[in-house]
Amino acid sequence: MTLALVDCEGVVHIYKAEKLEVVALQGLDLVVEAGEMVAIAGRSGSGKTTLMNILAGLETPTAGVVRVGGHDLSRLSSAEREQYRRETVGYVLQHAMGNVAPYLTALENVEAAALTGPSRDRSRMCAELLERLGLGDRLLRRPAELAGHETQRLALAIALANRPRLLLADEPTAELDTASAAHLLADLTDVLREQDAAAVIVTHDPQLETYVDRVVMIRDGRTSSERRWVEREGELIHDELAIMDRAGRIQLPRAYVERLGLSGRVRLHLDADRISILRSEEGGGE
Amino acid sequence: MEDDAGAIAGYIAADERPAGQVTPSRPRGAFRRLWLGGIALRQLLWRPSLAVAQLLTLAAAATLVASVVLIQGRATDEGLRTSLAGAGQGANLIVERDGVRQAPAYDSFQRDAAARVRGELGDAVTAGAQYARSSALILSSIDGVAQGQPFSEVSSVTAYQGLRDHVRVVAGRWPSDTRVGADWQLTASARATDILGTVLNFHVGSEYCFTYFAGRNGPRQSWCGRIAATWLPDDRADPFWAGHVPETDVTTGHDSLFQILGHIPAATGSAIQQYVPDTAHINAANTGQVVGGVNRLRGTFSVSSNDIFVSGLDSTVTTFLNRQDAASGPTTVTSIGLLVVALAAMGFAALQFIAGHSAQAAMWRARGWPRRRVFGLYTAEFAALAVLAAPLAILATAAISSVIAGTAAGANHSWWQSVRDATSPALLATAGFLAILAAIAAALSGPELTQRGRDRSSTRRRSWRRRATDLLVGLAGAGILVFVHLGGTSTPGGDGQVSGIVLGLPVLAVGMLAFASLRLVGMAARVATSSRSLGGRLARWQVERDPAQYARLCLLVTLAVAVGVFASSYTASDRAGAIDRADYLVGSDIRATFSAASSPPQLTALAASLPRGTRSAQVFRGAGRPGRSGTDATVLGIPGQDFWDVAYTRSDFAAQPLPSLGATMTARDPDGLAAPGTPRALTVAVYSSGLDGRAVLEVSDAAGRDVSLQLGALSAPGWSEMTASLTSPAPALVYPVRVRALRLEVRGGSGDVALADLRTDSGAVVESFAANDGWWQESFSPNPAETGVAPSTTRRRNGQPTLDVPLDQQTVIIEPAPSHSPLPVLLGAQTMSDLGVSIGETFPLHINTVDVSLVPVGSFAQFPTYYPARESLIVAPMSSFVGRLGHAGASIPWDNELWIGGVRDPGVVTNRLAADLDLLQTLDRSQAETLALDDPLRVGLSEELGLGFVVALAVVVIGFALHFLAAARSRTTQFAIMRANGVPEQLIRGSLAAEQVVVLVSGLVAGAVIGLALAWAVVPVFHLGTLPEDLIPATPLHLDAVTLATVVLGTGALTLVVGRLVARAGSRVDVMATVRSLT
Repeated sequence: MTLALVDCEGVVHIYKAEKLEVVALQGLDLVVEAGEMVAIAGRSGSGKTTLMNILAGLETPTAGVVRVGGHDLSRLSSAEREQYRRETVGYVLQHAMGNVAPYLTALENVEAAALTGPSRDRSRMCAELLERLGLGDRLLRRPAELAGHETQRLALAIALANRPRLLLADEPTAELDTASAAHLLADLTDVLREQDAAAVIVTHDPQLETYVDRVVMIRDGRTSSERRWVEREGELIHDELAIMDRAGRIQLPRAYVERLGLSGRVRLHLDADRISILRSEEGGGE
Repeated sequence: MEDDAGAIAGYIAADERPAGQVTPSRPRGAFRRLWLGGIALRQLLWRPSLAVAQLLTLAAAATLVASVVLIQGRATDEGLRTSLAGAGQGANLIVERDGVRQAPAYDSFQRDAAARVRGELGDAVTAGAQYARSSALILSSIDGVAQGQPFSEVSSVTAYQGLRDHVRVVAGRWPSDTRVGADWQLTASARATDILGTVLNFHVGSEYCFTYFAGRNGPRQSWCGRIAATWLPDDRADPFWAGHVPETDVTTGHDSLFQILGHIPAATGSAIQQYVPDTAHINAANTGQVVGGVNRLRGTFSVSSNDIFVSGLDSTVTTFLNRQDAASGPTTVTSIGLLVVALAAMGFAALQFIAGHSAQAAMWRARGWPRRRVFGLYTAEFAALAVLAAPLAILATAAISSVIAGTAAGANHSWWQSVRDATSPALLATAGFLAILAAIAAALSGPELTQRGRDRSSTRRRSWRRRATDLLVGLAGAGILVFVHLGGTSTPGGDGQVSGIVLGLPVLAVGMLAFASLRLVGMAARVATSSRSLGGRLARWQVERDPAQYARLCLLVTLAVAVGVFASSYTASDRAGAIDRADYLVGSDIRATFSAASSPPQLTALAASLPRGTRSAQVFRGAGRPGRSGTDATVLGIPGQDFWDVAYTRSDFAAQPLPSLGATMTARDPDGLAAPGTPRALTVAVYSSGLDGRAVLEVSDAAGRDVSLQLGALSAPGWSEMTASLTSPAPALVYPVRVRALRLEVRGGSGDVALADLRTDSGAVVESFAANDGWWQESFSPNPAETGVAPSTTRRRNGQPTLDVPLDQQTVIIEPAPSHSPLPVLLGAQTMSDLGVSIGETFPLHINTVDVSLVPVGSFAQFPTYYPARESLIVAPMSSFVGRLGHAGASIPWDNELWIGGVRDPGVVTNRLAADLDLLQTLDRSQAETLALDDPLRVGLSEELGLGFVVALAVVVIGFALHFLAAARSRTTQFAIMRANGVPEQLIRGSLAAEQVVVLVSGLVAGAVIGLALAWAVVPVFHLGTLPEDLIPATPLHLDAVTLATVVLGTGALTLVVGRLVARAGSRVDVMATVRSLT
């Protein structure tokens, strides 16, 4: 059995905002295989960014286990965490300009982030990366001189500068128009394949689903369901599955629950090949 | 774009890389290369306002520290110069060897001694004359005319090396150093010829013959010389003379002198060399070397050898260093305080700087930059700023140094010298602050990487107010200041030594109070924004949302204002205290001391001759011994009201004002004859044998004023009624009036005067002179004496005996017998404690061989001219005290000091006093005040404080602008949305102004209170010396309202103006562009 690149098991994360404790993740499970591209979707406040921050090594889970590339992120020392960020992951923050140093050129931005590998080749490799992402003629431009999609490409180049095994991108296409987003995703997909890197991408962009292997839905701090494209009878079908965690818990789609009026206690029926959920007579149902 | 592509192709071709491999073109030059320094420089240029603010703050802080160092060094050097100048010739250095008769021995000594002195003291002394001098010779004849017996004129013959270079010939021709025939060629000071010429007929061409007596029965050896020239020194201040021009010696050449000595075998000679301190080369850095060198020379010459070594240079320097040591406490604490302000400013700017770059740092950290790399980036940025700040600091320090040096008297400081002086301290200070900035960077180089992290930190931001910790800290700070104040005031008249811990506490207390004052920010926000306007509420929300950010700025304002208020209050108090101490030392405008060794000084006549408008009081000062205590006490006899009209006093010298205490003493004075009722005149029957003179009646009134009243001339023979008006003196006498004496002044002739029936105008008899009731007389020159007088029948009047006084061209004072009651006196509290006596307890005073019974009626802590640690003081009513001394037969029972007030032109008065042959010493209050105010240590401390405030003000203005500029920028989006919703720009600007007012009001109030509290606490503690004259009287807090108002309001106004400009610039938002960027 091969180890997954990302393995999150029962991840809980609680933080304080003012005097309130916020439970951002409440037992999240997630597995990402090497080279796999996974999109994370969910409503605002569902815990997507928290998950990304944890995977990026910026925050530590309150409970649970997060393993990325063999690193147990809850047990890393400060130096190990820095090394992890430097060598294992690349992170594209939500707003494009937040990823770049506005006073450096595009090439310098990438070079400044490229801290691994032989220094003598670093400049060439950074330039190649930018070339690969369509910024070959923008090497010496500063971010303010780039268009929005170019800035986002630059942000991706910066995140990929150290050839990370895992790219984390928080809504990389949010600030782009449809065409620019499509081009960006196409180029990104190619580069990731070339670098044999996996990616976890937070998105609300439906078109991004066509570029990733699967889309994991997060609800209330947990992975609730997963959509992927499957081929059935020679046709690609959009298949959505609920996710059962290791404790056997699943989240019912809100639409199902509302439609059947499920609340409080429900009755489960085990049949030969399925489990049925029925309204309890004492419940609030009919 | 084409350019970029072309550059890439070119790069590949040059590098001969495989085709298709993309390699970027790189601009040349280190600046463009991507090393950490390059990123740092570009990050600095990206946020120029932050960089400029940090640069200016760094330069200002370095300037402050470097200037303080220079000011202190200059104060020390100036103080040394002042001390050496005050010591005069006492600080010179003289090396002398006696018994030198041969030229080789002389030359050898001069050479060796000069080498030793130079070796030990180097440039610290300037070589004066080296000369040989014969032993004293007696002038036997001039031009063959024998000088009469005894041969009282003595002189020496000297040979000054290089004399000709330092004199100008007045008469004659300068001779060569060769003997002419039987004579030697001599020169002499022209001034000597002026002085002695009239007596000795001394001139160029005169032949002088000297004789040396070798003992009573030894041979008389003579030699003769001719005065070839007379001269005057080119410059009497020339170090060559070392303050002494040989005006009674005759001079000759080196060879001639030793030939003369050979001619008089019994006579001997000395080899002498002299040096004067070179104040340009004695400074704070080499004082130890100078003192050590002088001591070693003393050991070499006067201990190990039999030579003479005289110098007060070491003791002068040591005395100054001791004084400087005492002053080091205040200067050190002040320096530390200013350093704290500089650090606070630096910390504030650094926090703003790092906060401005924290998002970038967080980004780098998210990219995997290790903390040390972020630290390296910040440090590189700070280092780049330091490189720019250092020359700024050097120039600013040099400018300050030049300004200060320019204000110093006699300063001759070039600009480049100032730059050279400023370079090292400014560089060191910049380096030190860079290290501190690096430490701050090290602490803050791991910024929170997520928004949530910042949120978490914001939940802790009020921790400094948790459980009223700030109030407790503030109370503790206030307690410390009270402790320091009490520590200073509990030892008045002590040795002025305050422990370093006590001196260090004020800085701690200020920090604690400043911390507690942050509570004012919230309060001020509520008060200043109590209006219902949206702008006010916005400001309040901002302040309450992030009080820590405003607290930092408020702390800076508080410290700057505290420094300004303290500097103003301390300087005003210190100057007032210095003037008080100078006035206390002198006692009045001018105090003159006279010799009363053989006869009473003629102080009444002298006082009468002073310019109109001056007032004076004649005072007796002597020394006595209370009982058998073994304690010597100074006795000051003061003349009541006249004394208080001219004496300096202050309300805190005693429990009640000293004049009031003096009035109590006067009122209880039992001596003198009381004139009953409120007479308008006193009449006495006087018989005269017909003398050239007059009779004077001396009375004193209830206020203690002594008045001389004319009775009449004594020229008419026989009896006459003489009347003295009691209504004529101005101001009017205060009843009851007491008769102190009758003075009979006879200028010519001899005879007698009889007295009878002294009575008031209403007929009440004051004294009949018919019975022996103890009257006595005191006569003066030519035969001073005190004797009792008794009625006689020689000159009867109305059948009754009268008091008959024989007179012979003299003044006689007839005085009533002193009372048997003890004389009321005032005692110094310390004296009273030392003697173990209390109010009302009689004790004897042994003075001038007699005993006087005294009873204390009051005590004082301080009294003009009185230093408790140095002496005991008894203050007595002068007329009665001196009268009792005279009556008891004490020697010199006369007033001997003149305290003069109302002096408009001290020069005129002192010149008049100097003409009196009995004058011993004159102290001039205006001169003493000038000396005190010009004390380099005092001036240096004031300059430090002033400079500290100016720099603090500068950094506050920079910080204020920086803070609100950053605040406005960070709220660009918020402002744009508000503007998009119709909020006018004026309102946004108003909300920023309200925030500024909140910070300013808090800072100004807190700073003013802390500054005043600090001044109140430390004014009694800070001393610039340990001598009683440096400590007494204590310095009270003195507030200069104008300066204080200028400091507080000036700071507020300047800061508000800057804030206004920043708010105007910061509130301008491109609404459309900003809103579009949000969508």
